[in-house]
Amino acid sequence: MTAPEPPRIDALQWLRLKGPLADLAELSVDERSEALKRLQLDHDDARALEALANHLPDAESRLPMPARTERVPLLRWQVGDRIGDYTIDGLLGRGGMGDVYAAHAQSSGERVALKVLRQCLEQGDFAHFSTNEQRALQRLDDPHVARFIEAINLPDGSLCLVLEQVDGEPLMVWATRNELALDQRLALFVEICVAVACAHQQLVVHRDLKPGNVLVTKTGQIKLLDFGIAKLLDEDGSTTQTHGGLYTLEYAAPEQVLRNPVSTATDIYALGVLLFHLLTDSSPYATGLHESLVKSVLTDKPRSIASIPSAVSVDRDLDRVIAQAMEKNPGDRYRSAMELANDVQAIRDGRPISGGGSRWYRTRKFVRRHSVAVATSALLIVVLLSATFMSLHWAQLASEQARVAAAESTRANAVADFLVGLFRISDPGVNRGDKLTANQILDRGSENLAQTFAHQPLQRARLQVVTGDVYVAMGEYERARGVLEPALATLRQDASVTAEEIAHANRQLGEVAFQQAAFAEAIDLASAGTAVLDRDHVITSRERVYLALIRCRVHYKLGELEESSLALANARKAATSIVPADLEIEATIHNDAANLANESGEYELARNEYTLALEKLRHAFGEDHYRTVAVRTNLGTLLVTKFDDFDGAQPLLEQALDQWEKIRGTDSAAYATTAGVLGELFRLRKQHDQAANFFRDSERAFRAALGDTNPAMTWPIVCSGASLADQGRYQEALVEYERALAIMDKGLPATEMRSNEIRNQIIDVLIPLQRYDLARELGTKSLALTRIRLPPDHPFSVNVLYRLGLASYGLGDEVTAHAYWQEALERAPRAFDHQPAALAEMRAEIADPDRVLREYRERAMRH
Amino acid sequence: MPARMFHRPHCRTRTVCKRGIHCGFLNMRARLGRTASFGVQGLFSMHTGAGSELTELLNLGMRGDHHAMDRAFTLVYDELRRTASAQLGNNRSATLTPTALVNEAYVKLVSGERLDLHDRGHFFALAARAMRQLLVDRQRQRNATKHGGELQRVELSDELLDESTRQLDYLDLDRGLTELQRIDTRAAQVVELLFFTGLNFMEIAQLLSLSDKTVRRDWASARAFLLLHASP
Repeated sequence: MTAPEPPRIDALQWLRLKGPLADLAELSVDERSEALKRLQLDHDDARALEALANHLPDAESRLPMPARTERVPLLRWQVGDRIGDYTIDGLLGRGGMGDVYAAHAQSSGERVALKVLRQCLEQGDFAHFSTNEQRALQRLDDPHVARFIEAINLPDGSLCLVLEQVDGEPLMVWATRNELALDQRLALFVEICVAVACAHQQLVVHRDLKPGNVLVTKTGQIKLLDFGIAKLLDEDGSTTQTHGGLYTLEYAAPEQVLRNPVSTATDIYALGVLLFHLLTDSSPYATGLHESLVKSVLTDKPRSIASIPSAVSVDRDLDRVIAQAMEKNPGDRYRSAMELANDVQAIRDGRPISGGGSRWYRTRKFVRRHSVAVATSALLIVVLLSATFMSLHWAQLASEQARVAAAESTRANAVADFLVGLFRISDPGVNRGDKLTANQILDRGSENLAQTFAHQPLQRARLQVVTGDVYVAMGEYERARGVLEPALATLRQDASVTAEEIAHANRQLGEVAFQQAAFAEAIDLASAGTAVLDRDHVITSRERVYLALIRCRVHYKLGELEESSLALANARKAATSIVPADLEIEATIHNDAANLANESGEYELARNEYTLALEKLRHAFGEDHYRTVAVRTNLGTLLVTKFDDFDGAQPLLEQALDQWEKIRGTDSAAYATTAGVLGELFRLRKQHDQAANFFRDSERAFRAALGDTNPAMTWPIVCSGASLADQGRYQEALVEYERALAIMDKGLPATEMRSNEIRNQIIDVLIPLQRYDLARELGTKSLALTRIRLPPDHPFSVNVLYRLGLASYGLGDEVTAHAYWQEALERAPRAFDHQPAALAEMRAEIADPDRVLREYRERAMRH
Repeated sequence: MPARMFHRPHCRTRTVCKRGIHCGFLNMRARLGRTASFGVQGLFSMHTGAGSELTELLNLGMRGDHHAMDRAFTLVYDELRRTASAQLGNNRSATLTPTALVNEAYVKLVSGERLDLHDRGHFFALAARAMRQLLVDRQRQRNATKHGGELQRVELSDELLDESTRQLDYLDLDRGLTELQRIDTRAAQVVELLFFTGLNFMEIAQLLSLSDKTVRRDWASARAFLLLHASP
């Protein structure tokens, strides 16, 4: 053969040509050239496809393709045959998907349609038409949807669907015959949308909506056929390409062409095409031919209806509605069929439409704003962006954590369905005009949980855990507690629940307790979770790592550094068994190690660990993920408090503050903390006015987030006191400190180290106020505690020693004073390793204590 | 407590097994998130037994141990070559039958273990790759020794035979396949399994968790692609 150089086919072109090529293989040689012409490809594609088609086997030695080797099947049944309870009355039609018989039920006399799915390959094929799915279809009770009655497995492995028999005319035939006017057509379309919306609410997706599947009865009522059945025909989801397939692609959405997961949004797309047809009796893309159609579906905008001569309307709003429904990206379409129906109704009523407008815009904005917050719940993101509730998609995402994937994919449907339900709440049909926040949606969702799963406590508990995960990710700890506590109780009682599931619930609840500073509870929960894993000998588990990390953090917060470091070692050990390595876990360990190093005075180590954690999190989750932001805040804090690196810290902290505002709002603990650190930064730069603003904002945020008695908020109060003390406003500072101490004492006894810090600050102002007695008393207490709790070279001890020296000196006890100072000076070089200025300052002050005390007094007098 | 189904986590999590180079097994079932509940029936009768070296290596390989996967490949390759030369004896012009070779290798190397569908998928993917390599190597040798060589025909089960595919030689096929892998991994995998392991459509469909029809369509289009690229 002297063929020219074969055309080079790239992956995209192959994607376009592969399907038609396989179609052509099923035709005879003569039919092929005919079909090739019909395809009207562009030059390159045509040339490539023709070259490829030349290499298809000729008709005589045709490949044994199923469509060809199977002879056109004989009719399976004759009038009078009995299949189960049904007696055949006749043949309704022979379609691509199989024959449809009219029959009636022996027991009830009901007239039904029996649809035999011809594709009878190995038995596994229909296996995924699960009982659950059948039940979902059976539940779908809507006068506008042809009822699914049951599925019968025939002995040869094919499947017989028993459906309501509908007497009616196909939509377009009816519309044309009755010469329907625009308004009548729109009215029909609204009815179709409502029926589809209703099915979506019951979590059934049609997948193959087209005029042929819409019948109009004699009374003018619409009936949708084949709801939820299309998926049985081809597991690739390319239903529309299956048979005689050159023209049915018309209704396929881009995700179907690309074989991506199908969702309610797919039906919205099909509704857009259907509306176009209803208005123009023509197709939204200029070509009706397979090849260019694939391209059009993926890239082209639908035509304007005004450009079609047969159109019954030239309304630009209708163009906009169609375009909105037919957006390429499922997430950009109308969020629900109801929303689409509302816009069409608005056009009928002469009201402005929302398409692309306010509500939709709001929704999108909402998704953008909150997608960050819910990023840990990959599932929720999926729901937010595309309303996808395909279990496979969920399983795919969940399989990031492959070991739990098995358990999760089994409950995937229920979980995903539930979440779709949540977002249905934001459907204007259900909820008119409200501005919904993610919280509200979740809250309503968790209320729904109790009702929807009243008789399935286990399922409810699992969903509560998922909701809890999202709440934790959003920093809504009280809400998280509300769902996690009952969930944990239920899970623990059920023998079928895996240790890992229980441990996960324990971990999340432990995290909640930790965040709410309920430290003893957090430890208990973490221990209980680990115990469950031990009981079932689950060694390799992410939960084990996280549970250890909770203990690590709690001990760290309590100042129990040894226990904390032990827990961290445990976490590290548990993490090494996780293969492949998990960035999130590694990052978490780095972060906690950094916290610990920070507390132990190993600042260089802390900085390295934070930097590593930040790097890994940015890779694993991206810039805006809450965990990335958390580590960024930590690093910023370290730079401010331990390295005096204000210029390095400021951009980190300002970025973090913005992100927290975006992710969790200004009433969150995370925002409060970051604002506090920024205040501290300005305090240390002696920009006290700015510092005061940040401290106030921080305290306010802490109150809003955690309530009025939480010890966490003492921190900005103490800082604000320090800021006042810096300015010599000692009396005012003392008021702040005492306020902080009062809150602290109302809080938990376990926070004595923190109280101690406040005491130290108080000593700091007592000295200028010349209340040396009291200062020494507090200082002695503080030193005792410090010696127990902290390493000797901790800056905290050095500070206490130095203050004690000053107080003693003030009392005239120079001998004691010098003893304290000597120890302070011995320890200072290591304690102030990274703050040479602080070290120099302290040395100078010890060298001339009279000057220091005098200056303090003078500054105190000025105010 | 339910049995843990996923004792080898990472292979289930990827669309293509990490060891794409040698094994390249497209794990469709993992992609679809369903669990493997049925096997390739009636293909081989197997008894449970102690783990063979090969399965050990496969397991390691699937956990990301590159050396193990390389060694598994070598093991399969050597076995295939041994069997092939034993089969051919002195008759250098005899035709190799991949199906028989791979079956024999399977029986020898897996030594009576029961492999689950996933492991079997890995084995066949590996065997196909090794068989392909073996046949290509042989072809090269022949071409070298015989000045242009004698055409080593591609031997396929009757189901797939037709004139045009018969005229492919292994080097052409290898070239075309490499090209196809670039743009359509799944179809390339189907072809590889078809040509080099002798599995039939249905068995391949099961291994890759695809429908029989999809496999056939993949083959139909891939076949045209290969012939187009092999045509002189």
